[in-house]
Amino acid sequence: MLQRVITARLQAVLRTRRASSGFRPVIGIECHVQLNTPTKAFCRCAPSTTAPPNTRVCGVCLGEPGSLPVASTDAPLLGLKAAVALDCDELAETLEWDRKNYQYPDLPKGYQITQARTPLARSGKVQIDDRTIRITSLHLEEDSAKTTDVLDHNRAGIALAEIVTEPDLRSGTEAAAFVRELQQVVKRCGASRARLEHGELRVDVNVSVTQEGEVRERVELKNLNSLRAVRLACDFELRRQALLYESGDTVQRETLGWNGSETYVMRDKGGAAEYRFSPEPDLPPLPLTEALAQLDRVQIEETTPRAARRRCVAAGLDSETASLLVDRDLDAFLLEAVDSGADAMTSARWLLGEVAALSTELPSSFTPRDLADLVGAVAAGTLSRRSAKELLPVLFQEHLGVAAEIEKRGLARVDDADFMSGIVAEIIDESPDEVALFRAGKTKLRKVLMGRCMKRARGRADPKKLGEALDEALL
Amino acid sequence: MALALAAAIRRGERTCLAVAEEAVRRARTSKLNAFARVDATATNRKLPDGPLRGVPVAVKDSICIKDETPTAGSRAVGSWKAREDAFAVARLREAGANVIGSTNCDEFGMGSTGETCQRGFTRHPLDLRRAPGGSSSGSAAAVASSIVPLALGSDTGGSIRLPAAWCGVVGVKPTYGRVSRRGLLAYCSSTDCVGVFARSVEDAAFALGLIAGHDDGDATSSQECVPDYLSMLSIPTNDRVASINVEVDDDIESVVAGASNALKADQCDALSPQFLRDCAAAYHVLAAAEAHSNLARYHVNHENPPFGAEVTRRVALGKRLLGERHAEGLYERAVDVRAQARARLDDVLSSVDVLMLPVAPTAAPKLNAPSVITKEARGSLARDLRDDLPRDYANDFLTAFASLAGLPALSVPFGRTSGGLPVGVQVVGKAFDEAAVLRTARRLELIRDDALSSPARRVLLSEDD
Repeated sequence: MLQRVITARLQAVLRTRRASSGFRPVIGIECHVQLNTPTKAFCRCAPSTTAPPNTRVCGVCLGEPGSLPVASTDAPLLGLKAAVALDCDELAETLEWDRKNYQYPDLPKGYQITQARTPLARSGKVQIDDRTIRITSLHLEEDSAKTTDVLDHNRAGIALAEIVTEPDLRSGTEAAAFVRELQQVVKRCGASRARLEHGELRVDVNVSVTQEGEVRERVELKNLNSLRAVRLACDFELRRQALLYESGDTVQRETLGWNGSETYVMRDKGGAAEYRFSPEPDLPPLPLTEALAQLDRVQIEETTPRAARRRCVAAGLDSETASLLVDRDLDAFLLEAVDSGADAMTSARWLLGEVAALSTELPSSFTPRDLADLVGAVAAGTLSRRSAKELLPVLFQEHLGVAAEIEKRGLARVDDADFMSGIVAEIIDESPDEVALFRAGKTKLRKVLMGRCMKRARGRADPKKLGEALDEALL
Repeated sequence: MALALAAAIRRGERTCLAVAEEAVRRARTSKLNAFARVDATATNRKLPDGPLRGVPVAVKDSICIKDETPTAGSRAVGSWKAREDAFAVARLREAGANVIGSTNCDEFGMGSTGETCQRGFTRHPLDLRRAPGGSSSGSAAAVASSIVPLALGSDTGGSIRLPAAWCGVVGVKPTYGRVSRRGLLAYCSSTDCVGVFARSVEDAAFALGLIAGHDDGDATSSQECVPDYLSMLSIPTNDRVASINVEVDDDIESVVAGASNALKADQCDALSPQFLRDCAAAYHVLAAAEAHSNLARYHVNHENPPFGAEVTRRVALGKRLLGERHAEGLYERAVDVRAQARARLDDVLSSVDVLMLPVAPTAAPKLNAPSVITKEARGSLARDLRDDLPRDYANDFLTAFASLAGLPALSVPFGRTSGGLPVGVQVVGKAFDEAAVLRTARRLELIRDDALSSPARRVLLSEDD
């Protein structure tokens, strides 16, 4: 109740004023990433985020008496891939499991199998522009059941990688950028599909403010399921805390949720703090020698978004455009188009502009070769930009290829002098009044006549040459 | 006996039906309360043609039987029914054995007398006022009273060896990981073992051979290949035997000394009584910690599961030892003692093949016997844990060390007390050397039977025999 009152008061304050800049934001992130394994972490059930509730379950993931976990080898392999992609310096040589003992309705065994003593990897980093965000650790664990209308155990036992950062982030924008980058990293190395909207990537954020180096109490923001939520919730919380301190209050250690416009208290963390970790006796330590030997670090590095951006820049893009393409997963498409002979910047502009405007997802009928041909035709002057735009939706359907479609639809630019003079003659014929006025000295009317010519040419004529033909006819 | 019965069935001297009917009838009418459930369909079951075809077996009620509720002696399991047979049960069935029912046990294996069973305690087959030993009480009693020639049990700190010794049957706890734990309701997962009860070492060896072996469904199950235990019994060897001196009742001591003399055992001084008791204390710390975790699943649907007093006590102890009392360091000391036990036994067993000692300080006690007070050395784990140990903790003194170290161990009956109660000799071997343990037991069995038939050598046995 008190919290409500404070929040209500703060809401008003937050609308009208900014916190003083004396407070330095301190943000750390814990991400849970569902690994893209064919089975759950400790049983043979096939994971699904969309199957009907409780249809992907067995005795093991339901924690039935007499059931025993058997660790999949896929989860550590994907975890290690993610760790390498996150630039982790220390990779565990042995896979060790622990139990986190606590009672919660979504935890069928009354404990979660996790890694408490030795995480799979430590000391990684992620670069966001010129800032380095340190990764403390990456460890494996099993997911809990999902509480919806029913308790859905499809999620229970799915392999997760929990990735924890140092408190290196300084704003909501930076936190969101980090999550975006992390999502790209784990997705591109094949560790996870990492779709926020499907809960394949879930974000908890620890937020506090410091003043003059003094460490303050932090709160945990849970279940932020979009980049926007990460950004807004962090910023809201930073301002709330700064204002609390300014008004002489203190921040309580608590777990908060985000309702879209403000943070709210979810549950007190005090009781859950004692997890009574113990070694998992059902899963003997497993040497990772073989998995580590299988890791192709060079190949994994090539999958990272930073490598993708490098490749884009090497192909001729500026770094900002490269980032945009990588964020939108369009870099591979672009590079293939470039390989097919297209100009990188021009293709990128098409991809981010006209193509993106048509659809958020590229249809399979639209190939990098099509983009290269389209951009090439425009560059060669055989296709006007206008015709190219007209052609684009055609390429999103079953089509014959750019050249054939230009031909079939008569979209090609025509250089032919007869074609130009023919159009000019038609327009002059149809516009006797304007022609007369022009000839009488109203030279501004050339623009009107030119416009009519262009329209009649349906974008196929080179404006310069058409203009010349018009001028010649008007003389 | 199991193998003899199977042979008689193969020869057509007995029928599966008649054997099953007799076993079911006796299980039902027995006054021992050995059975939690008797399966009436056992008499009209089509049994696969295997080496144990038609042999009735009983299964400890903490081991899953398909479509039945394994109560583990507890009300907490509720009406949940197992999806499939436990690994060991499936193996016995494949061999043609006829599972006739489930046997009572201490609740979730937490007890050494059978008295913590929420379905009532099992009685001793020779004296109804006495405890048969636990936790696999019903299985031991059912075999001892010849209702079945073979039964499955589980041994976490002594739960097969102790009731086997007290009831006078052979009880084998294999090496940790030798038999899959899949389908066994977990108590202390790092020491839980599924094993067998039989009336002869041959039967036990044969049954162990059936249930041993790798299981993909248990990550702690071993890949080590399984020898033919039965044929290895008769191989003449020079197994070096050493006996461990411990403080036990005089009757027990003289029986074990007899066994020791008969096998010309050396003396092993490397394992002191205090060390063995510290192992038992360490076992109780680890078991409580793991039990608190393993039994947490029964809390998911109950705020307070209907556990009995002993289970409640041990679970709460485990929770405290990992939680608010963690700072006392008892858990870490127990982990240390376990490591020491492994190292020390590795060392001892590098120069001898098997160790011999009593199973328990006493023979079967009266039900509800008072607790045994022991003097523990200052600074020992057993002393520092004194107030947290169960009442019947003394019964684990001589068995827990083998559980902690994961070694194979068995109890073979060898003589009686002056009061006529059976006394078991415990044989402990190297990891995965069940063959040597069984072979030693077989030698003792032959010496015992020889003595029984030769009045001149009755010195080995009490006068009641």
